[in-house]
Amino acid sequence: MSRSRQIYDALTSTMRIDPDEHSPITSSNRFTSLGYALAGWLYMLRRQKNTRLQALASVVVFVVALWLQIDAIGWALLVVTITIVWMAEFMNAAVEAVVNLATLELHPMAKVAKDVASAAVLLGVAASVIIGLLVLGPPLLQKLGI
Amino acid sequence: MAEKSANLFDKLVSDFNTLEESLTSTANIDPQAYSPKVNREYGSRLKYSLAGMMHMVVRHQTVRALSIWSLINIVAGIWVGIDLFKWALLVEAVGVMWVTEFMNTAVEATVNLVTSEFHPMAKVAKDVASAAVFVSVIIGFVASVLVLGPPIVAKLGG
Repeated sequence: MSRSRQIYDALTSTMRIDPDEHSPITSSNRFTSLGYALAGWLYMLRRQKNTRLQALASVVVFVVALWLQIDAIGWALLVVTITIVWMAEFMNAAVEAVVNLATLELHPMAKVAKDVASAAVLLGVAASVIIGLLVLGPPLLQKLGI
Repeated sequence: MAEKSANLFDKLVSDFNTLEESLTSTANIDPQAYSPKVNREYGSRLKYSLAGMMHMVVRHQTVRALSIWSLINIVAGIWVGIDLFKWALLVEAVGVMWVTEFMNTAVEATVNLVTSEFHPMAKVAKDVASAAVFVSVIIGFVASVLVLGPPIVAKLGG
């Protein structure tokens, strides 16, 4: 087999797998998918203490930003950074669920998966704290007259 | 007519009930019932995060590449003297790379935990997660170049 043929096969190998063949339920339409997304949201808010804390923190950041009357670019930065923390948090919960689904033992790879996923959340939070300080810090200091 | 609207109302109520049921069905699942280990102390999560961080630093060479790229961004940012919003953009661009890379490793670990066979869905999970890293690296790189490029060119040109 020629080299380019090999590369072509390697690149298209994942594409040829039909995920529906391996899934117990296939979403019938977009509205059902949206329903699952909302169900996941409600799950996070009800079952994860950190998500409620995060929701509160997001609201506080928005209120402070409104109070300081930051400009559009500042808002855009805040929205993106808050979204990334939420996404990391939700992905972390998804990884945790999948790991618990796979095994109830304390397997080393279960530990790696969960710990690394929560390290990703920590990184997201660290980045968002820095961005929050950079965007909100100066106008806050100015407003407080320091 | 009244009967018809009553029927319609009943249908709406039952539709709403099914909708509510399907939306709250996930929230009604208690994750702790399915977890081998339940942590009540608050600081433990930070401990696990740091343990995961250590694992990445020791075992994964991509962390080195990410650190070097972050350092390049920081040094270049200090050198050309960008403003706070641009710093925030840089943190964003680099931060997304880190988060996606870590999530990719978490997915890899999960897949290896589930099966050591070459299952097609294992391939999909790993390949799609690493495609996410690829996308975040391209986007992050473009963002860094957009933020740092013009001031660097100005600095070198003048």
